[in-house]
Amino acid sequence: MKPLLNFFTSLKTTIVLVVLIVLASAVGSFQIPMNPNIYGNLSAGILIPWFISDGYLHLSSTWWLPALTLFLTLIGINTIVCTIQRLYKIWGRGINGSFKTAISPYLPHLVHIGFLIGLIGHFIGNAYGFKVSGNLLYKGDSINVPHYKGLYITLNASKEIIGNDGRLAGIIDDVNLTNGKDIIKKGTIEINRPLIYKGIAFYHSRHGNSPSGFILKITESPERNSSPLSTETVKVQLGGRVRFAEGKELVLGRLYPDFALDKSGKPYNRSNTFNNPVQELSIYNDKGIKNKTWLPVGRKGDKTSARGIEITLADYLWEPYVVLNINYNPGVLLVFTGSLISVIGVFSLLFIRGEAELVKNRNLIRQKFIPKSLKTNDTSRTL
Amino acid sequence: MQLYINISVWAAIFLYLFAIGIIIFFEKKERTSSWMFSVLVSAFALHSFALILRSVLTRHSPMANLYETLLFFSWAIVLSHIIVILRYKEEGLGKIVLPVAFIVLVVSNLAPKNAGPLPLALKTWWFELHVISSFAAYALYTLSFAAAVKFLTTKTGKDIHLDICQRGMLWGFALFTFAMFSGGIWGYLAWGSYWLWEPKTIWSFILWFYYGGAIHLFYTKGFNHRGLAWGSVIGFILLLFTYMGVSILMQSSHTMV
Repeated sequence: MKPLLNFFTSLKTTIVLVVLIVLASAVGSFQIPMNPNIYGNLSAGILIPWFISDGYLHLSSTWWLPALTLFLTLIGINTIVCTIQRLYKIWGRGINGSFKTAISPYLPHLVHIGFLIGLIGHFIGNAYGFKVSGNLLYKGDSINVPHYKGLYITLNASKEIIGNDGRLAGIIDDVNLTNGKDIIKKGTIEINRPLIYKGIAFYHSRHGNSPSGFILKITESPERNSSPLSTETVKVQLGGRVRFAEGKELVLGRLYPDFALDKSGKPYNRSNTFNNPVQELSIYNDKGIKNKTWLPVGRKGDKTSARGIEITLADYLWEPYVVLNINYNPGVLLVFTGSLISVIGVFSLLFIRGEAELVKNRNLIRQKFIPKSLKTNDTSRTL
Repeated sequence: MQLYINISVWAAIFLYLFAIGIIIFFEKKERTSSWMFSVLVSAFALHSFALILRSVLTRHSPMANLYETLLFFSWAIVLSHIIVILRYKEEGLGKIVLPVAFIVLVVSNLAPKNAGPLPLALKTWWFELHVISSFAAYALYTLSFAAAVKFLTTKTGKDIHLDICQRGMLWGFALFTFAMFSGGIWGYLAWGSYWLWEPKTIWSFILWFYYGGAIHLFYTKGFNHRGLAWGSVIGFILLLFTYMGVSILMQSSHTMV
């Protein structure tokens, strides 16, 4: 036990660990941009689950991550052991003098404690939690919050704020969190102001208007090249249906982003990109007999026809949408608390203990290392 | 308005060069000391004027792209040097500090001077606190480096140089700790993560950890004075790589700095 304690209280251990942490981090900083195919989605996920699923497969490049974790763990233990040892010694001396004198020896350890709390929070956040990007929400829609059963988010409205210069000055998403029946929390999501509920943070990622359906012009002609019997304009949502003429119904089937027909005349998608978007249409007459056709929907004016009915894409129906990122980091509060304690500790050292005293004390200790010839008595130049 | 900014910056560059010349060629003459200080303060006033004009032009703090951050960084370096002159009556550091500020200012003029609106994610106090504290820390580390070089290379005024070297590191570390804290909060509020696995963030951590380690070793008697001075010199090399090297050699989310 004692050799282990000696190892962790040794200054050499600290020096070696600091050097190793710096080196492992530096290696990582070069590996990440050199291998975007490996690290591309690292920041979008949680470190340890990512490493188990992806990083582990590329150990020749990702070895620095477990190494860094190990060195940080060791320096964490090193900090705990040294801090306890020092605090025990300081406590043993008792409380003497003023508040400032009494508290001063503890201040460096406030920085250490902050660092430790932050480190623990960082480890928790790298092991648990989730980051889910690309949660698409149309106005009025609800989606289940990922990894959280029975919690839903509904987009009530999304509003762009335009500044005096005519530029986009902000975005406000008005949302509700519900349990499926009742509203649990009402709130807004803005840039730099996520909605946070039980540690789950909802961020505005992007927004815009997306086609949600079509405005179609339907023309009926009894025979080819004859004058039309009727022309009607209808609005229909994607996947929806609409009645037209007398007893006829138009149903929107599957939307093919990159439409093609195989040798047997069966439709299929060549890719998932919108190179040749085509909408499948089914037209039912008053006797329930179905005709199927495909309407290109790449640009306004595209048309198709089936048995005396010509269908023209007059326009698109647009609907506003927002895309949310939903993250949960169970260690974030510890990280910020630890960081804040470190900040308070460092500034307390400078203001309570006094930087002049810090420098003076150390210089007095070190004075013996400076050759006499180099010492100056010109105290008027120092504070 | 950019024309007036350019004129002010070039005038400041010329005056900084003049001040450097005075320090190098007339260091020992006391009469030139007040001359040099007047020239330096005039250059600093013009430099400050350029920063104010830039803020008026862009309607935000001048820290949103490489040009602005370099302009601000050199300004912070000169400010820290003026404080040292007033506090320690030590002008000799100007031989190192002012050429660094001068080079940074000249390089800033080579960077694109686009004055677009601030991206929405940067419109927060956390961003401004993060950048101000980062560059204030960088300036103090630079000052510490200059004092360390003086400590290692000259035989007079060692205690003052050591004092400035230590204080520069201490204050620099305190401000950089705050910069890491404010940057973490900003990142969490803007993008949902206080940490990104990308080079600039990693090198910022390296820099913070390195200076923390160096100060720690000094106070736990691992470093003697020369060790601390060398620590400051190595720290400055790391700083240059973190600030410039990463931006030039690697892709980073911190494209503006």
